[in-house]
Amino acid sequence: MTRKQMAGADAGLDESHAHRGQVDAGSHAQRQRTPAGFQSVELGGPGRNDEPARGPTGACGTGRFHDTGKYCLSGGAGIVPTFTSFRAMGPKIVVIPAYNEELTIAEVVSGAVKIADRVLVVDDGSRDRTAALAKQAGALVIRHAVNRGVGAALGTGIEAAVRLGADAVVTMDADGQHRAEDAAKIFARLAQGDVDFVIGSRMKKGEDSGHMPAHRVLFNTVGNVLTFLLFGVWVTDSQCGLRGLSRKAASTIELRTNGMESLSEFIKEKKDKHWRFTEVPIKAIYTDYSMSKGQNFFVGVKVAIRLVWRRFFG
Amino acid sequence: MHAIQIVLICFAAFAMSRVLIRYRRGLMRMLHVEMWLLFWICVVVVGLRPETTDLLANWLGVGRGVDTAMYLALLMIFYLLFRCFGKIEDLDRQLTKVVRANALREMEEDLDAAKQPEPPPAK
Repeated sequence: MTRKQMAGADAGLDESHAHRGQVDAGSHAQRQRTPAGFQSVELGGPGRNDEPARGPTGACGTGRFHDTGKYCLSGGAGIVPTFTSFRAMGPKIVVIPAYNEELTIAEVVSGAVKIADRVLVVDDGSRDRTAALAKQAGALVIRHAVNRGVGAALGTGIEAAVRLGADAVVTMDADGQHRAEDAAKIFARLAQGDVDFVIGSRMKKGEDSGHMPAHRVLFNTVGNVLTFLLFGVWVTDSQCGLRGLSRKAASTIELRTNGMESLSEFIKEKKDKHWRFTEVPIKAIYTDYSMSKGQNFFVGVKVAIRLVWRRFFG
Repeated sequence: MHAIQIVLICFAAFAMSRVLIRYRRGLMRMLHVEMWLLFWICVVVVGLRPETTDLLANWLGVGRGVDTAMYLALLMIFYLLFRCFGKIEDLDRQLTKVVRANALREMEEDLDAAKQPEPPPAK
């Protein structure tokens, strides 16, 4: 089996996911917006498996094949009613980089499997039971032979998600700081199809935004300012690990840094590749455990040096 | 001759011998060998004739020859640090690429294996 064939329906997805993977037929589907909240979704040409795109029984529940051989989600008119956000989506995949997170990984994965089609845990060379517990909780585990850092793990997870045919990728921390419902909000925002990159912001006030400890506010503000000075993009929470990428963004991102600095590098990529971007307010859960895992002064200095290096010397 | 001159010359001789040994083992390119030998020969010359640095000091507008030598040494150390940091960053990225490729290959093998039909039970 080729890597291409790995993507989409044949990649071990369950039947409903396989259906979506096939119906989506890659990112080449022609999508047109029509007035009055209707969206025309015409899917034709070869699918991910180099076979004609078709539903599992030759015709999807509401759609049918046309004489042209193209498959349409809707009836003959090619129009499906939508509220505001319907969009034909391939698998939604959550990527969780994890390093020695046996205390929290099972709970994080259990939450993520409820809102995503697949959960990928990138075990970044853990020496504990992180991989086993993640697998037990329902994740597909990818293992780094040695610890390479959160940025490297994110890069691996995003590349794996693209190979599995993901149309939307959301990254989450493994320390339990992020809520699955916030990840679902990011998937929903990506599903609207008008953004390529979404950052969950703990600083942006929303209906359920929480209280961030003062020293975290300080670190984040320094991170935001540094990110702005180096890359020219202002975001309210440059250090948040809960992010969403469209297929376009996920398949073009090139992270060159390996550590925490990769969080700011996403923003450089956003600018360089002209991704459409937005922020979604989220609520982070601060526990003693998650606080112990976060940044400290020395990590911050190291991150700053590496970001400067990345900016000026590549 | 002062003790510091003897130390400098001995150290330079040791360093040049290491350069030549690495070259004979094929671990250094000729260009690098020439650059390092030139550097250590300059150290020997300065060690034997400290007043030679005054010529450079006058040309650069620095008061004393020894100060000039120190400034240049500092510049060289910073440059070497920069080169080392860059090299480490490159190696870091290369290692990540290898680790990532290996991880993704294993993932695909696992998924392939999961899809293989189970062999019929032995009679």
